[in-house]
Amino acid sequence: MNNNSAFKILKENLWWNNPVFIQVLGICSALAVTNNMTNTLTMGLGVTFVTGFSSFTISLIKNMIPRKVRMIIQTLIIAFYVIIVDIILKAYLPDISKALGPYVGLIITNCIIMGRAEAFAQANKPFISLWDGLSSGAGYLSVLLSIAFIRELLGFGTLFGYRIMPQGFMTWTIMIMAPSAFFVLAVFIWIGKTLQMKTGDRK
Amino acid sequence: MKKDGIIYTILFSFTATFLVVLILGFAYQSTSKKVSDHAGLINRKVILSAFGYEVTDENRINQDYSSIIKTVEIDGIEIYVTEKDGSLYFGKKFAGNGLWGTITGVIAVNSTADEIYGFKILSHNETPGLGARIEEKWFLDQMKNEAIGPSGISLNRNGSGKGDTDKSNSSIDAITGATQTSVFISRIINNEIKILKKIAGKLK
Repeated sequence: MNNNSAFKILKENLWWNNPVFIQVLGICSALAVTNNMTNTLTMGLGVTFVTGFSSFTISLIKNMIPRKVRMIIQTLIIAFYVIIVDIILKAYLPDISKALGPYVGLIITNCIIMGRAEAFAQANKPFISLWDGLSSGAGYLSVLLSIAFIRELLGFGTLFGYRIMPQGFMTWTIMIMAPSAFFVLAVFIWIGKTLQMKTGDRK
Repeated sequence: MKKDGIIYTILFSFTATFLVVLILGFAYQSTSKKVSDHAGLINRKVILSAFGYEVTDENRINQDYSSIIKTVEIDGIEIYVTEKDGSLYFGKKFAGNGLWGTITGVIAVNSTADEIYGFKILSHNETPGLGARIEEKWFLDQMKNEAIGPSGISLNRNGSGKGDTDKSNSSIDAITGATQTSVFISRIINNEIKILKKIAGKLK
């Protein structure tokens, strides 16, 4: 891969075609895990890892996959990496594994991963697919962390579990519940879209 | 062999699935001991803390556990017994309904089962920030040394939300914004008290 196209993919996945606030994918987990920075970071890293490596693997064997079972094989590969993440979390980070509960397993259903596999890995070389997957995951992670930043700060008065707000700070209970993620995400889409329209097209 | 032919498709799908399952099976096997060790450790830590022993050093948990807690079986239920300052305390693990899923934990009482000695949560799926506050110290400390009334423990929905410090009124405060979870907790406690009262008579 040349550096020029790699940079372009990064810009595309982080900003111009961000999987969360432009493509509006992976919303379910964006609502579910973002009331706490630690869980969000782990979840985001999990998704990044799975997207990158499933794209890589799919691209590697794309010429061997029979057309009829293409999507089944893609799902198989994605599920494989998700279970690997789950096993690693259970064995080495049991507390976070407990906090994330079923959401790790649900990474399988995250549309971003299948989307990248279908839209990119299927037609490109392995290493650029790996990069595309990782940067898509980073795009997802960055938006989720921003949402979690606002939600944890206002909802618990903490960041990564450390108290930031003064002791008497009245926490916003709504920020802990799923609906607040809708509001915060909507504001993000609004800001992102407006900025993109202001700065003109992507060239 | 044709790539889109049926035989290639079946062979390819079979091989791919076989390989994936093989690797996952191996990964699972090689970590399963670590996972179950950790689960056992957390288990023992929670039992110890229900009896008032807060062990922070993970290396000491197993050692302390075997020297402090004795396990007996009464009516097919595993009962944990300990002696502290000449008095006997006993407790059991519980599993009961919460708002979203099962809440498990450990409850300990004094030898005549008329006072709760400790109440700790092992696992739950309650709403973060609301029902999940059942794990907070102020909530659990309400149960510590709380007298058990004739009808068990009652739940005060109009409390301060900061915890009931009166140990003789057999009442605990609900969590603000998580009344349902609090109701389920009080239900669990009362169920367990009934079982523990029966066992208290059979305990030597």
